[in-house]
Amino acid sequence: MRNRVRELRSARGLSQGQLGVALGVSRQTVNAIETERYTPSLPLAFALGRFFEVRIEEMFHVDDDSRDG
Amino acid sequence: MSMTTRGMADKAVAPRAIPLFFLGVGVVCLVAATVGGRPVLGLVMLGAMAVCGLALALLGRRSETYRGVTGETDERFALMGRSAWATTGVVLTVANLGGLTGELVAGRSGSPFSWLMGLAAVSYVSCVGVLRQRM
Repeated sequence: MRNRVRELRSARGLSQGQLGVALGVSRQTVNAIETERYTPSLPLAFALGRFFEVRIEEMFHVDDDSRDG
Repeated sequence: MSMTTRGMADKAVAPRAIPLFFLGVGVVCLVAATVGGRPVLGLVMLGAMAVCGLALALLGRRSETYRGVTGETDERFALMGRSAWATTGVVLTVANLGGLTGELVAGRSGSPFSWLMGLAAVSYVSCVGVLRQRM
């Protein structure tokens, strides 16, 4: 699952730690989402969308090569 | 939809719970070994558990991963913890199977590995039965 979290976070000048605090998750989890090692749950995806004021489908894209992941 | 991001940062266990658990296991070992007439062995085991607990307490100050798994957690750390426990269960089950096979090959009854394997099977089936109602 590809995503634009790093792009959106950088555009707002936030660190991974700051975004983690805002979302109630760890810095490592933010990093894992950005590097696409971890696909967030639906509630966390909604929280990300609400934080960045974008729709989930604008932030996450299904990668056909990793549809199972 | 009602949703709070704070809910993603639930506390799993108190940060000091794991070191204290190790210490508790050490005390249980000491008491059991003393009852069994081997207090020195019990003291050695208590010391080993105390060292492990202290090491984990010190590690907890530095490692975000350790804190995530044992203290301030989020959904990813919770998933990691569940996966680690599941892997531990598989490893123990395979080890038990090896022990059971070895006992049977040696011409013995297979105890205690046989009832441990039975317990693992009952536990797995029960978990699936409960989880299918909840998930």
